[in-house]
Amino acid sequence: MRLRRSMLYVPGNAPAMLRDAHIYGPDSVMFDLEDSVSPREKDAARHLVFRALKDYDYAGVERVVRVNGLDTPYGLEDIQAVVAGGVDAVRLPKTDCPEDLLAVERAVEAAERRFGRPSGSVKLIAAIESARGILSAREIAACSPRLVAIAIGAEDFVTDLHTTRSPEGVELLAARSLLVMAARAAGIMAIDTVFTGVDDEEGFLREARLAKQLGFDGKSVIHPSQVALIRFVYEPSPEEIAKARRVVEAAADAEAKGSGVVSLDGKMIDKPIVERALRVLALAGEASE
Amino acid sequence: MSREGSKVYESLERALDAVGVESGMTVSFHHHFREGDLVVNMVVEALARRGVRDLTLAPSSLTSVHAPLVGRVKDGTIRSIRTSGLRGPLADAISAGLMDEPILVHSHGGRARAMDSGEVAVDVAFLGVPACDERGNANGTAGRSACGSLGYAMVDARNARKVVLLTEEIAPYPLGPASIRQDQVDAVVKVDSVGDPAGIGKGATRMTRDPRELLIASNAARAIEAVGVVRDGFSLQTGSGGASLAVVRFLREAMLRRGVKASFALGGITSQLVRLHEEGLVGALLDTQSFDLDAARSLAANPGHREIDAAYYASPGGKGCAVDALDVVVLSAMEVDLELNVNVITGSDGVIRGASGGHCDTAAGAALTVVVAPLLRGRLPTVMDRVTTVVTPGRSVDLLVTDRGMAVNPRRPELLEALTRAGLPVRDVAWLKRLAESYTGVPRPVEFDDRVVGLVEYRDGSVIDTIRRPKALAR
Amino acid sequence: MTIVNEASAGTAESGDARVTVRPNAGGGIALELRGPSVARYGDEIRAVALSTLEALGVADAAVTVDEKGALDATIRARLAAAAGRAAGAGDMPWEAMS
Repeated sequence: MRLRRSMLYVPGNAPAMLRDAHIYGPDSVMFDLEDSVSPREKDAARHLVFRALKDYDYAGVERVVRVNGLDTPYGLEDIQAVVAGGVDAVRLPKTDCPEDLLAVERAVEAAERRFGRPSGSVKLIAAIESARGILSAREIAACSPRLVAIAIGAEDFVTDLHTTRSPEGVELLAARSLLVMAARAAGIMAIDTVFTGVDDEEGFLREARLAKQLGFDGKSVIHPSQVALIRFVYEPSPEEIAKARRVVEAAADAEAKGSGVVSLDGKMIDKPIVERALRVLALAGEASE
Repeated sequence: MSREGSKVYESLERALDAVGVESGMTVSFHHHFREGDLVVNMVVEALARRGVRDLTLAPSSLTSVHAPLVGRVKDGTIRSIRTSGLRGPLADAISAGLMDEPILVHSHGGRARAMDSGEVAVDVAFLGVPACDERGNANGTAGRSACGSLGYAMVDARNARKVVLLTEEIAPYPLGPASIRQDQVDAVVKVDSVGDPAGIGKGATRMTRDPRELLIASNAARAIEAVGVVRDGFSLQTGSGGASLAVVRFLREAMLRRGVKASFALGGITSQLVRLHEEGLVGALLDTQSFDLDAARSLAANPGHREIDAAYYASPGGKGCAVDALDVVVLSAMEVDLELNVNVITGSDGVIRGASGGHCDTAAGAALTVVVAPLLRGRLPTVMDRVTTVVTPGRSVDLLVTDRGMAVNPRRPELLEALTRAGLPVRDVAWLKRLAESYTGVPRPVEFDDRVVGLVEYRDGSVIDTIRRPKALAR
Repeated sequence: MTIVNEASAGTAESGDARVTVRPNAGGGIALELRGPSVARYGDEIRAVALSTLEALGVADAAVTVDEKGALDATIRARLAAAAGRAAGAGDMPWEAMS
């Protein structure tokens, strides 16, 4: 079960940062070719990210690249470079409708053929950053078998709503909940937006706890210090871990006996409870099978 | 003298007349003013003007502000130098072969040993102090250029044949406490400035925010905790910056979590350690060098913050020193090799730029010696087959912690077991070196010629390594 | 790829390299290396630069690499970007660039 508790953004035009992003322990590293790279440097950043993907070992950490949209002069060539480089997932910004994502899927598919990568090996992540996109979240989340997660980009989203971000995030509540629901309906992950206050540890923890409570699987982060904080937020308590172990054992017992009914302490355990217990153990870093 | 019992001379020249400095003598200084020191240059220049030649210079350390000494070597005022460290134009010139006599690089403990035993006889010590009284009682906490502990100067004061204090302020008699005592002092001279406060130290030492250094520090603290050091009454020493100092932050968290207090912190004292002391987490601060004004203020105000001299701190020659009581020391390194030997004196290009300092002293004394360093600096691996210069021998080093993993000295299998059990990223040194080279490629070795420009002395007085001139600098 | 203009890529920051590519019609590859790593890694950097140019199909170019501790991957990337700019190239032969 791949975890995506933290997805660490790295600007694509920063050679030293590209090399070492994974040492801080994120679940995914996200090399950015989009908003953090100026138009004059798009080509140079593309080369840096291509070489980083090809030449550096990221110790099993998922490598994601946020490409420019296909509606820009850069997007198609970004996709060539990163698929050729060996990227694990392509993240599309500003996904407003399923067709946006399907167009990327076609480009990725063609690139896989061109560069001899197994078909379907490159996954997709869609960032939704507009009202239109959020209202289409359900369709977007379900439209491609390559799609592993949808994310919300709060800055552009609140601008689209004609408002601003507040510490409590009330303006994002509906969007966040819709996003999570859309992800669950499609059986994929939901990733929360970045928190830009790098020095505001309390603020970050508050927002991360909110996201977790809403059902998000993880959060995009912009600084290594946030990686450890996310891990802390998502870490199950010893009691939760102990309980989860017992549930999983009970499920294994039932399976061994050929019984369809899992019971623990005299109570029946439904399938969702077992699945939740498996997720807890995954978050605790314990192998589930 | 201008008054009965007063040792104040109206100028440095008059004091030099009275004390008598002759060619061939050994003169000493302290480095408590660090990058703000004005005393060494001022005194050596005055001696040069008087035609004094062939001096042996014995400061406790030198920094880049001592660049004017290049001219004093060239004109024959200075013939030999013994110091804990040096950098900047003077170091570059010495690396290039400026001096006929190789310099001697010693540790802090080694200097105290050599002076207390008489092996090094100082003729005149010139000690800058922020304030003193007219008979020579002085400390480092009163006055505009407060520097805190005078731990290095105290060794000079008790050993030198003659002691001259240079001060910015003559305070009323009797100044107390007296780190340097009137019965040690021959002459007092008032000067405009002994040190530039901006170079002496800031108000408070800032802890690094570099994510890589914090990662290294966090891993080092986890390792220190995992091997069982963090328990009630333990003692510690760290460096004054970078990852080494940042370990204090993470150890503090561990101490709070475990409800544990340390008995003392040793060495160079920073505002971080003062805070721990004032929070009640560290019982005593044993201070040889105060790195910022917070530390200087605390030394004056907190009874548990005590000034200690360099012999008490680190001398191997006497009846035992404070480093022997350390449970853990966290040190930095420029280079580490497969045997865990450490270089802190020469750069990757073979040029002198660093200091032996208390490195080999604390490494020898502490029960657990942790060396912290990034795996790469630019395109240069920190871990190599053999360091350019050995300052601290590998037998003193227990654990190397980098941003890409840690390595344990094979002589400490119990540490390896504890770290592995704690799930920490333990590798061996060779693996770390290979990882570094997988990024950088294997660097061509630096070439040196036959000219010996420096001798590195271990704390016991034996020569542990030599520094030769890089071929690139020979002309 | 044919180099028709002068173009650069990269910065003078630590860990990066500033690479400039100029036309050198009929002159083959002229390579100048500058920086703190050249004394220790000159051969490697030269080999990396030449193989990158070969993969791009550049036969004639005057190239200056001004590095500040850049690793091979960075030098390759900066050189490829500079060459692409100097050739006015739109698409890159990614499959050749291994």
